[in-house]
Amino acid sequence: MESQQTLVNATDRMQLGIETSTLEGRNKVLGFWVFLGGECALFASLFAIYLTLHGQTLHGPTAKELFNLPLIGLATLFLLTSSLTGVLGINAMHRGNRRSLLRWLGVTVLLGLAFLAVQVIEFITYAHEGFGFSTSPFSCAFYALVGFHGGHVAFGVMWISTLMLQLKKEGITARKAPKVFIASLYWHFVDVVWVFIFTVVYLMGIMGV
Amino acid sequence: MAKPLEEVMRHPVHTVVTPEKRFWLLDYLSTVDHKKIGQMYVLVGVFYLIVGGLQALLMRVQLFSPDNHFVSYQLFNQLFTMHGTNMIFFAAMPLIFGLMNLIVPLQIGARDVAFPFMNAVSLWFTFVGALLVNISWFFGDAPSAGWFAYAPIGLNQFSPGHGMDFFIIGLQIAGFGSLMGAINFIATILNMRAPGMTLLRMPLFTWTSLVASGLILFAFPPLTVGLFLYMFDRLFGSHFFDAAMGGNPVLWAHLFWIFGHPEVYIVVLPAFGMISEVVATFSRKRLFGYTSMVFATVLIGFIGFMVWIHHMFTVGFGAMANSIFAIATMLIGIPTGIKVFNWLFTMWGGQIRFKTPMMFALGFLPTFVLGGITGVMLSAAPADYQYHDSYFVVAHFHYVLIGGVLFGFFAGLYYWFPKVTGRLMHEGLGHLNFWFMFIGFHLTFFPMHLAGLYGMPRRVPTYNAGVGLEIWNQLSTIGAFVMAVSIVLFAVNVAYAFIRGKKAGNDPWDARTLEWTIPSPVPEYNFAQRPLVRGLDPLWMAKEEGKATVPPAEPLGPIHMPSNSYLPLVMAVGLFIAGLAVIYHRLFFTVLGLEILALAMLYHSLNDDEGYHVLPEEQPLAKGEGA
Amino acid sequence: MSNMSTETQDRVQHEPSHGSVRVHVISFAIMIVLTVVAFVLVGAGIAPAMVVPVILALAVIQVVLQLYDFMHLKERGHSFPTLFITSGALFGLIFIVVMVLWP
Repeated sequence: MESQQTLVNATDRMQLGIETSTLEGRNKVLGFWVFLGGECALFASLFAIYLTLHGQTLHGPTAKELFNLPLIGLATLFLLTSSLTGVLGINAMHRGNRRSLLRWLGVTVLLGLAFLAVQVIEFITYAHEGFGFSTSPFSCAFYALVGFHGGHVAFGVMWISTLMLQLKKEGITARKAPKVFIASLYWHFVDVVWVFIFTVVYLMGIMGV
Repeated sequence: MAKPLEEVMRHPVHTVVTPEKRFWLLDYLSTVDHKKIGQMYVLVGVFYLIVGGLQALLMRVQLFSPDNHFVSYQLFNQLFTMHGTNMIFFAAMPLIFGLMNLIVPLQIGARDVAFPFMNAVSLWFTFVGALLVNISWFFGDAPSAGWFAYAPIGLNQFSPGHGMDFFIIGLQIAGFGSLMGAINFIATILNMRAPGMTLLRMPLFTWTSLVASGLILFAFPPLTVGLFLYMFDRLFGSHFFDAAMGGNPVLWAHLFWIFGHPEVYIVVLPAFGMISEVVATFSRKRLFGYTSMVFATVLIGFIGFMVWIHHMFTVGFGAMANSIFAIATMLIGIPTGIKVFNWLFTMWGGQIRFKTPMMFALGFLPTFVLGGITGVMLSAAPADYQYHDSYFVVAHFHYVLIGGVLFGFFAGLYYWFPKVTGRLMHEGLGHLNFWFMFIGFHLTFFPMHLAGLYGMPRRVPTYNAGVGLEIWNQLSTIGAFVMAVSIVLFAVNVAYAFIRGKKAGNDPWDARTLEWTIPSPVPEYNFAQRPLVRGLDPLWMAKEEGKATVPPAEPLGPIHMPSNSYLPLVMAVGLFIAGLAVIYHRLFFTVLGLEILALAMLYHSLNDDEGYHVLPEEQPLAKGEGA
Repeated sequence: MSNMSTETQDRVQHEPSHGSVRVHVISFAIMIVLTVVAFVLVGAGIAPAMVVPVILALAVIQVVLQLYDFMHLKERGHSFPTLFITSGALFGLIFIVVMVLWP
């Protein structure tokens, strides 16, 4: 059954990697890409809400008064680097090198935690400056968008951590590899969203656009 | 690719022990079998169809005579809100997913869906979501802000009770279920087709299911976001939609209709697919213009995302917005028209057999076309200012949703009932069911066009005497009860089939596609040998070549099956607890519910299901064929 | 350590591994440069009307790099993933443009 499937879909087989070596793995990878398509629509909706409400600051602080460029730069550096370490982990997985894979995933998780720490510091600072969740429609939209993204990062950290446990126990198997691969896809996607957040929310916010 | 691949492909040894038989109820509660999941989806859908139907009857009784006080005005608001919510989210959606689950894997020659476990999670999320919305009646008050829940009517100021909270949380949970279901079917259809089944050899129901799943994928996330923001506004003091605090209520309307319009195509496209299967089978002809049908389906799916403003023409976005969206809306008429003509040309010169499914398909055609015509009328933005919020709109969308979706579903239910249960329904009762529904439907909804044009607004609990609205409302009420009789007849027919229905055999309708090559009811592994597909309508091709069935693509062998699991149910229960708790601001139970969900997910992630194998000697069909 | 060396030997199976590490690092360097350029442009105090289109373009380039290199979209057999991610992006863009134009 497997072999015939291979023959029929030969033109559309993904490049040979362990994550797509079984039908289950191919399903997982394709299904996850489909899910990411839906995530695009989800974050687009949040961006649309932010872009329509970010002028409504009422008596609360504005983006220009609030945002701290170096802090955002640091968070961006953490997340971008974690994206690289994630893909290096996948590379190690393709080589069948479990130790290297675990090391790269560990670095990825740590960088994710560092990003979250920066974000927590940032939010606490804002709260002290009188910028709570319900201060103004701007603050609501800001926390909804950036918070949703932060929640995605936190989930990713937990997800990759549990995968590391499984990899430690069972090694790189045809069952585990697709899970690791889609977790890395998720992680890159979270980074993709962040690129738009730092551009649209922070950089444009600081310019007062 | 010498060593490492082999090394890593080394699975732990699979168990070949068949799991012990469970009590049937426990089996259903823990099943991951797409057929049983599909049956439960259909049951949920039919149940809420009846609930929503009873709510409609109560409204029709209230509107039978002017200045009536059969129900209170507040109760009337709750009735139309729950009627719409139940019918769209908890009747139409489960019926679609039910039929998709029952039929799509069979039509593409697959043994299961891509993610059997997630499939069960989808079902139970839908189930508890529906439950959460509907138990609001017993917790004081049902929501009363309409199924679209416009802000600010649905915000705390104007809906102070908990009804709207139940609505928001319940829809959110059910929405997660739908999203997962859509991902599942996209992966299944794209990855798990039988050898030889290229995309352009897929039956049309599979195609429409694929496109509808794509629509769910992109339409539900905006609703998810909208519902989250609504929840924040109602429960956590934010101001997204509250104009008094600088928010913008139109944003909710945007997000809702970005979802809401594609939702119409989500429910109607699979119905188109069912009609296509039925028309081809009962005309004994290949579907006319198959490729154009596929193209039209995809086109409807894409344009479907560019029309949502036509629900908001009277908001006042100006001529530019209204023109763009009016034109996009009219464009949808073109692919839809292609479909209608293709159905007609399929019948043209065919050997038509007037079986019950075909009767519903034939009833569908003129009814749906009427709904389409009023749709084009409504899409003209200036004219829409006149029709807006009148019974004309109510008539229009019921022609689409009943004439299109429900007739399609009934065609599909009658068509595939023998495949699912192994029993035939009674033809005479089926025809009676059809005629009651067809006449009752037109009696109910045709007068609504006129009531609307005479100026009767939507969602009003009563109307004045002597302004010429009585006759139209009385006809509508009578028609509604005729439709209710038709649903009773359907129930009787189902009962008849189970008690005295004739055995169906593999292929009771002399049909064309793969699902009719296997026994009815379908064995748990679907296909003992996966079929080899060499063209559209593989079974018909085999028949034309004088063969009994489609040739197999593989030798007999052990078939791998996933194991039952209670975890999907546990996850849904956890989410239900969390949802109920968040409505009443009980932090402890919210966390508890989410923890149950998270632990179940973690347990599932850490414990890979090895499944079990069905050996060839356990496959009765395989043995029969071997002999 | 010996364990690890046997594991690494097996990379014959997936030949582009070494080359692709280099490609990934180059992509990453480009992303960092683009990010720095965006931050500097904003910090330099040029008129927003000039800067905004530029930084949006830089963001899009970064995202394309992420998708095509880090997420392996450039590899064979990724036609369906490309279809779904671009459809999601296209519909998302429509949502944003319409909601911003007509809030």
